[in-house]
Amino acid sequence: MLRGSLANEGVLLVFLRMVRRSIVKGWHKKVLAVMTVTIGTALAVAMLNVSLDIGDKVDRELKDYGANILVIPNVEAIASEIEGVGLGARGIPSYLPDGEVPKLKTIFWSNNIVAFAPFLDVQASAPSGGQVPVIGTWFRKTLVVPTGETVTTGVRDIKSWWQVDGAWPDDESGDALAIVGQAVARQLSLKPGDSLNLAFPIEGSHNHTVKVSGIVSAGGEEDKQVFVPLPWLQEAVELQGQISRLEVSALTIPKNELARKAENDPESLTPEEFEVWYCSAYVDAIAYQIEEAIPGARARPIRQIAESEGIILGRVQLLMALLALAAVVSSALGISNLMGAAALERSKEVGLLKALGAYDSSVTWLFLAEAVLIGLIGGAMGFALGLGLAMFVSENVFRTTLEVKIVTAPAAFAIAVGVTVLGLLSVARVIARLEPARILVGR
Amino acid sequence: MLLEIKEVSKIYGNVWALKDVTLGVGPGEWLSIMGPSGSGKTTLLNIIGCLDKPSRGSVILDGADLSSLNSKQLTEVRRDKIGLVFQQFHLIPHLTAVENIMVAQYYHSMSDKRQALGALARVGLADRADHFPSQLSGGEQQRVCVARALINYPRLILADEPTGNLDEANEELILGLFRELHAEGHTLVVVTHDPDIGRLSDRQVSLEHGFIRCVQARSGEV
Amino acid sequence: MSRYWMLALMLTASLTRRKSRVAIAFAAIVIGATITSGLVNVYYDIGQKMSRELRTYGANLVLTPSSPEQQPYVRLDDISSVAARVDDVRLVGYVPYLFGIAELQPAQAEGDFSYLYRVARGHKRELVVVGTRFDQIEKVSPYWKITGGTAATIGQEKDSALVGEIVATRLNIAPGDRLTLTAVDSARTIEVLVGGILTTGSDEDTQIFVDLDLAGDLLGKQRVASVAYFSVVGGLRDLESLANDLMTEFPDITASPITRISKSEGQVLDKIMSLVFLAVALILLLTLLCVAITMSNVAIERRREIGLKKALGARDRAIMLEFLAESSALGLAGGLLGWALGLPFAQAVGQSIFQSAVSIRPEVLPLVLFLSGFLAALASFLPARAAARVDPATILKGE
Repeated sequence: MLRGSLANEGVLLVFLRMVRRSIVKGWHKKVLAVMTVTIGTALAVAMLNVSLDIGDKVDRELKDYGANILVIPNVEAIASEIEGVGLGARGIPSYLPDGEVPKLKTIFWSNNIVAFAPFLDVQASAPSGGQVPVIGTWFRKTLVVPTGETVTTGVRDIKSWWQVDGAWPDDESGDALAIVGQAVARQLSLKPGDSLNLAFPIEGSHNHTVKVSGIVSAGGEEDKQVFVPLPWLQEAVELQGQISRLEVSALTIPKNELARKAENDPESLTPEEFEVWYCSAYVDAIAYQIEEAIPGARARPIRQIAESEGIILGRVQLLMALLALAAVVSSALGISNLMGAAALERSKEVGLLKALGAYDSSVTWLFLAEAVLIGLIGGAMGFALGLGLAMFVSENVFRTTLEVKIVTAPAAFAIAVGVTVLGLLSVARVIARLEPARILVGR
Repeated sequence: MLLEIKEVSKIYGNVWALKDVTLGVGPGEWLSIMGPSGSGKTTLLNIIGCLDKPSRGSVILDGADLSSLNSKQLTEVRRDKIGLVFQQFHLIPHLTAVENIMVAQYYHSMSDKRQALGALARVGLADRADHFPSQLSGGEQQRVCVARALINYPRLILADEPTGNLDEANEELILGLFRELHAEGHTLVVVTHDPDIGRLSDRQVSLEHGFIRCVQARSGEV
Repeated sequence: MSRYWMLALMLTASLTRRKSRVAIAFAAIVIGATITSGLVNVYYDIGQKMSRELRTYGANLVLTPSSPEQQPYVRLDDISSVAARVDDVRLVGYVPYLFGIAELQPAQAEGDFSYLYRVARGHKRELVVVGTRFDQIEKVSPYWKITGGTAATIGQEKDSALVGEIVATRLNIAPGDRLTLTAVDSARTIEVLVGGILTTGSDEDTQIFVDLDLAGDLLGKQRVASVAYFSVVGGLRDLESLANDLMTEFPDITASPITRISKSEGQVLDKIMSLVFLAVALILLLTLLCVAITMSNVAIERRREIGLKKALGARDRAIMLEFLAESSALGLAGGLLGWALGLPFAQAVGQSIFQSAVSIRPEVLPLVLFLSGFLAALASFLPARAAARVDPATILKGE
């Protein structure tokens, strides 16, 4: 028993010495092998990390298109608006309490809500006699939400395409400042600093003057509107604490089969399906949660934004996944190719070992041990380098730091070691078949 | 003198591989350089073969002073005047026997397959011309090497332990070849530690620690 | 025998008889070239493809009358002329809208309108009616969700209507219902069949869409539209210059890009393109590096052969020439094969992501051939030169 284990120890020692010698001896080739494994793994890790993180990153970019969820009072009558200007069709306006707005940040997917802004729509008479929609909103307001978090958001974060000539009003100052749509400004010959008289259709004193703080070019219906701070407008039209609608910009994931099913009829989901759906950042699930959080609200995805976002996101994710796959395949082939070449090159050594009485299996084990070692070193270095590359991509394209996906670490080692060993095994049979005499004489 | 070596030294770092070696080889002479491992005999052979340059001293081969030549000119001298035979044969594995000889022709001037086949026949391998080195025995490989060394009519044939990797029968074959070459008037310089080969040559030089210890003419003839 | 013949013999021997080594180097080159060819082909196409994908966001150019006070409508003739004026390849679709207000008549018993009266206490049943061309809806507004049919099938019947979801819910309207609409400023009446319910999450949910000609009958406005929406492939700058051209050519209309869509599109496209560029560049760089390392490794293996050839009197230049000729031949052959293999690869990417073919660019072939030939040559030339510089004696003695 004891002798047996001693003998085994001896065998192990010789084996280790042989591995060490073979690494020390052909060091420059081992460096090449490690380099290839490192580069290959780095490539795979970088692309995997980028493609795992890409959904979030690209979605943030897609937020440029504006809000993807519209929250309105559930009892709202049919609003008759065309291109942002009321046609005079009558409905009884209804409102949501603005105190409910911060509850947005209490939903399950609150972290996915990147921006929101409330709006109060009022029709006013302009000095020229025409009607002009006046909209109260938050330009950029800081508020404390029920979770204790501080959030800064508003129309400036939702409508990134607005170009304002002049200054943005300050929400907190309480001044009667306005951002005027460029069509209105042209019609009334307004420029920043001018005053604008607005008459609201309510009882009592209804004439107000606002100072034009900036002119907005939005290339859409906003050009025909006037934007004022929400509290000021609420005061002016005696609708304290009321808003007409709330626009929400949320990060979502592309719809799948389940999301389509839920979209058509949430009731048709089984309890398990509902659980999965509810805990996924589908736009409908987020809208559903908003309805839960804000009583009396009707939250609906703005399909122009939400649908398109899903499609684009799906495309980009698929594209990056394919690129990552190409990277993994390319590096796998590169590594196994080189390992095969390196092993073939050592046929002389194999011949010698076999001549000395080594079994095919022990030769294979020697090579395997080496391959695993090279794979581990290359994998570690490749993982580090790959993270660096992924961060470089993230910084350069999205100007944000990368969220490191830990799952790529085992992936890196699996790729590095697995592929290195695979490359070796691809030539193992050739090596094992070598006849010692021929090799030793042949060279 | 075909080859004159004057006070040649070769220094690696602070190790003197050769120290003030002076030696001459006449046309048609067979010189053996003997000595134990590390005595500097391969270094001396490399210097003669234009594979290495001396640190000091001069080597004059066929009237040309090698020490004044640059590496390109050395290559030309090696190509035109020297035939090399190595202990490990050094045949190109993916070329056949005759092709290996044609490579030497190619670098010298022009390949001529008939001539190359003639050289193979000369070493008794006419029927092995289209075999690859891996299909030849050690002795056969070395004979291809000898044929290759002869192909460009060198002034001097240099051999480094030509029988070191061979069994006795093959050693006999190679030495027989060398004797024939010598009889035909070829000049041979052979590095060996085998005293039997030394005894076949006209003259033996023994090197030890980079010095020439003794020079000995062929026994029985002087 | 000519020198070139012998050179050719040595090259063929080296390429055809060292099978496993050549196979390894060749495989590396082919893989590298396949990936290069595939990715570069995809990359060249991706901007255009993504740009077209981003058109799912809908119209990005709007036509309105230039002087609404005198002429509040755009002539349909002008709209079709504009459409003809925009390049076929860039025009995704265009749709005219004619807006009007109509009162919904509870003419038939079907449909419970009492709910309407409860909600809209003004006892008014006024709705916005929009005349449009249903066949264009799927192109310009692919995000519309229609239950009960598709825009195309609804468009087949001239008296079909598409009812906004909020209207449908409030008034309890379902596909198959018949509605009677009366214009508020005249007594004209039309009857429509509800073909589907429309959900968009914005204003359209409160409107009723009918065929443009039918709306014209209702409102007494023939062959005109209030606005026309165009979906055109291109960035904000392209659209601005297009809009300017159109306005000079058609003085009756004002063309303006929808900034929200086109500006965001530019930004998003830029990001995606630079991402793809970096990814492709990274993959190519590292793949080529792997190829170079494999080639070098195969060349390093032949140090001994180089040493021997030098000992036989070969000049450095002759050895370099052999290596260059051999490796560039290998590189070019591998490049050609890789290029060919890259084409189906590019198509596979195009089909799986965009469901459309990638257009093959002939200029990728010289690029791939140059890269693979040059890289293979360089990668084996450098170690060969290094080996040639070492004294042959050292190499022959070594190992």
